[in-house]
Amino acid sequence: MNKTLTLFKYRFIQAIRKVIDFKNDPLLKQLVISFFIFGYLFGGFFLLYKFFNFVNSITPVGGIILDRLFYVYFFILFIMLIVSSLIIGYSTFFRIRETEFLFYLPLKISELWLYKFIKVIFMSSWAFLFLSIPVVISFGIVKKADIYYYFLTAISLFPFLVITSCLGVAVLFAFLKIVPKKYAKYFLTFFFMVMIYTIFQTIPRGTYYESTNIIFIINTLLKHTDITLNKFLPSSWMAGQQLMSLERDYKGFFSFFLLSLSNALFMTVNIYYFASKVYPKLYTEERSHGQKKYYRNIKLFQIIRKIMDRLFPRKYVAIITKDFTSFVRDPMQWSQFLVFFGLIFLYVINLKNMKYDLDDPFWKNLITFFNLGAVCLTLATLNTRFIFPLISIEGQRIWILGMIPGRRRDIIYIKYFYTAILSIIMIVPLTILSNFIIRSSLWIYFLSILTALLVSLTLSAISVGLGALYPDFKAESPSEIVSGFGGTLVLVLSIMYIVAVVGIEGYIGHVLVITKLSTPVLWALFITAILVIVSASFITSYLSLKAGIKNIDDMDF
Amino acid sequence: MISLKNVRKTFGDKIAVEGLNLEIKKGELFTFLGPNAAGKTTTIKMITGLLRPTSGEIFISGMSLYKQSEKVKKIVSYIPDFPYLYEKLTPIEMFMFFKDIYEMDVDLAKTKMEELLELFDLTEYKDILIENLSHGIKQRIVIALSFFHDPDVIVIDEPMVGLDPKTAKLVKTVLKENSKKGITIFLSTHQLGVAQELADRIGIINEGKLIACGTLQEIASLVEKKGSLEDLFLEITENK
Repeated sequence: MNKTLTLFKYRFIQAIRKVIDFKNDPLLKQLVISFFIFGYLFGGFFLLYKFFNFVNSITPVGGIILDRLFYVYFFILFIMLIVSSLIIGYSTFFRIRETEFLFYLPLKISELWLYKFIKVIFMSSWAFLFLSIPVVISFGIVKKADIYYYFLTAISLFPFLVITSCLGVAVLFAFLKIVPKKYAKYFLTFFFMVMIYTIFQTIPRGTYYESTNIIFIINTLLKHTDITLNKFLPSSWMAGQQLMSLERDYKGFFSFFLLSLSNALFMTVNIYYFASKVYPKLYTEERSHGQKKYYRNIKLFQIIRKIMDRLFPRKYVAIITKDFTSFVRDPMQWSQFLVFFGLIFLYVINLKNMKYDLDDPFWKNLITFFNLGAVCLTLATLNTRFIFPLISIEGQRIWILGMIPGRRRDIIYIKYFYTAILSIIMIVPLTILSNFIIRSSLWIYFLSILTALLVSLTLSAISVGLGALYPDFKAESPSEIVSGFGGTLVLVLSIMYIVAVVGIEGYIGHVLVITKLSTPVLWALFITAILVIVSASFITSYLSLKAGIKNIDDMDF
Repeated sequence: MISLKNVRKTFGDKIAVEGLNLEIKKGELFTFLGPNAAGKTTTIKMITGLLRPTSGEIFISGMSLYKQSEKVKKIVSYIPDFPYLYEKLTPIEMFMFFKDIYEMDVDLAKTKMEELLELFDLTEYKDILIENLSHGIKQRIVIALSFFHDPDVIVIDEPMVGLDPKTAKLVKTVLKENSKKGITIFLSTHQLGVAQELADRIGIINEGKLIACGTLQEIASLVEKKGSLEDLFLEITENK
């Protein structure tokens, strides 16, 4: 235990230095990060406050809906924290270089395990805690909470976070212990399929509109969230505690709090005991990779490669093949990609279950561009997570690209070229599908597909360009690369660009379908707006790529 | 001091190390040679407890590496080929971290640290963040740290990577002197010159099997050939 504290003491010194380093960063970096932090805290608070206030004002059911939203919020947080602990736990316990270093120091396995476990709790939850600040505060203000609510919420988070991390780490260790390594990927694929099927099956299918009675509709809606009230779920204890502290029922609060705390301690003690026993064996098994033969003679890939070899210089096809192969062979990469893409695919497919009035042009337009916005924002997240690190991920091997007989900038062009095509392949079919499902007009088809194309090209340019402008060759994993300044800047810029473009497009769509302007005026407005969007996209792409190219051209490898 | 008894390590179908028996005495400087993928790093990782043998046992100073791992690790130092240091700490803080982990006496640790910083020419870098130091300086810090807690055994993987000739010479001298003082050194290298210059005994591993072990003269007698260690090494590994 003493040595666990020592490890944390030095971890704390390093964390403080990272924070202090921030003041030595370039002004632009400081501004972007500060803008992002305060923008989220204040903007998030403002929007949530308005939303909660609106819901609360719906008589007579506003308060009930608001309380239920709190249960749903903690339920979602509960699931996300478990998944987050699982993924971060795998990397923290088994993959990062620090683990190997600590393994040959004279630490008890239990001390090492405890240090790693506490690290997992912190790393898996800090971002969620940050995101929760405006939710908890705006909820408290709308519910007219006293100061104790905020204090009690802060202390009740502790057992909740411990429980979610315990569950994530328990699943991780159980999986590694029980499932033989060679069957792990089949098991994971099967698990993902079952999960997607289950989500698909549990999606409500628009029965609320069979009646116009508000109580019936609310009851039906709330019924779909009944699972969040389950008394065995720690998320329901967490939400229950908050609501009791709001009602100043401190006895009720402490009974839930002690329930959470005793469960957190019980789980920690048990997992500490069992997981720390199997940890050394699992660690060495995880590192016993041997020399696997990965080569697969897949005909389709060979044909694609042959076609590409004919169309482009072979050295550039080699870069694409290398990037693609590395991605496919890294389960941490493709599994996260599948989760992102799977979620947005489910969202689009689910549109058919929405029973809004499809004959109303206003709703059609609104839904179309909300969908487009959602798909584009997901693409922005995907690009930030997977395309932005493409240069940084080369790490100490960047010199290999630097030595390629050709212009360095061609590396940027080739990465831009293939990532833009991949983005188009992902986003355009989804846009067409969503238009098809809600039976859009030809105007809307044209507008949304044009937007999807422009967004794909521009977001790829932002990610590739800034990825080359702000590379991090020291990072150990793509997640670490993304969490730095460059990743934050890419996400902020991408979101700003999408909000602007989809906003303008949505407005044009609205004018096209709603207003009765004369045809020449309509055409003039339409063409002007399209020109503005195309120019904005072109300028954003050009500047991003130019900045990246300049940095790569001037870089000392 | 280091004892490997019938150690075997497999990765799936691939046998990395097979039937390895080795006894290394106290104060001996043992050099482990072998071509690429021969099983050197696997053996080193088993000796440091980072990998577990599929079968067989490893003892350090009479203690089972896996049953008494904490005690064993207290007397062992490991210098990997790609060393790990906390980048946001300074060399002094790294020493203090080791002092706490190895539960050393504070005054003794300070004296020892000053000596090592001086010896490895690190005094001018002692307060600079490690992230701002070159690979060679980092390697020097790792080597200095490995002597910090007065280990009985030092396991080294490619000690000369990234070192300038002056430091390389210093490291060789320090290793030799410490082995004379009774520290057991297990050194894996590709640099046959280093092995020839330092080793009391040499082990040659190929395809997971120890194919030769002894002093330079004993190894030379195995192939009935005279010449440098390089000639002997090639002769042995090619005609295994």
